[in-house]
Amino acid sequence: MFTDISNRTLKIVKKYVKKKGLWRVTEEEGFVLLREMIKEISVVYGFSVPRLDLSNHEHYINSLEQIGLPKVSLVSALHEFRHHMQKKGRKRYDDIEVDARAWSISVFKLALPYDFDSAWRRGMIWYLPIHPENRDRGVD
Amino acid sequence: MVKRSNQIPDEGVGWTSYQIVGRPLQSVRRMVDVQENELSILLERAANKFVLEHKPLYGRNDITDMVVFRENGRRVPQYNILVAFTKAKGEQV
Repeated sequence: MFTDISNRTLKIVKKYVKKKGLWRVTEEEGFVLLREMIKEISVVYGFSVPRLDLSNHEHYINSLEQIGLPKVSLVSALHEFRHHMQKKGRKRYDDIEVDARAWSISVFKLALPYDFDSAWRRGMIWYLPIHPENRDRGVD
Repeated sequence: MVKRSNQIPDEGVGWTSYQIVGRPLQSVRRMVDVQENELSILLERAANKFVLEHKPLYGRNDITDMVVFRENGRRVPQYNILVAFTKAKGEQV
């Protein structure tokens, strides 16, 4: 996991979830918010801003710097943005998927710790093991 | 013989990659409709290859991510597409 993510990035993520209501708005409005969030995070790192489109598959097109998401998802948007960061040379783990999963989940955990724990309990974060409390109670 | 990309290996933790031949993806916005169509075909081809290779253990709904790399130095555009997957896939927050 990443423990050294910039405070500016964490504040941006928190702002879009808590103040702008990313999880409470319509899908159309959610995509608008995700585009704004990605733009602001790109500024933090000094990167070009990747395009975000609605798509059947979650994806990142390296040559076009384009992100596709089938629905509004904070962790997925961060995951795809990490692939954009990788293109710009920011990569900690050799395996680009491991790197993107670790970064996106870390940002969520550090920016919104209570929401992170709640989502983890409900199995709403891919690739994480079963939450310890669920495991102890024998819940999948 | 198809030379594998040197950008990413063939597989890793929860993902595998495929070589797909396709038409050029345009970067200009005036071609957005064409691009969406070509991109959609490209991603579907990769998804189909994944399903063929991994059924019955994994299916299309288990795909979580696709990362598309354009291969260089070919007359016909070739793409290396990473397909990530997990069995425990539900709604992600």
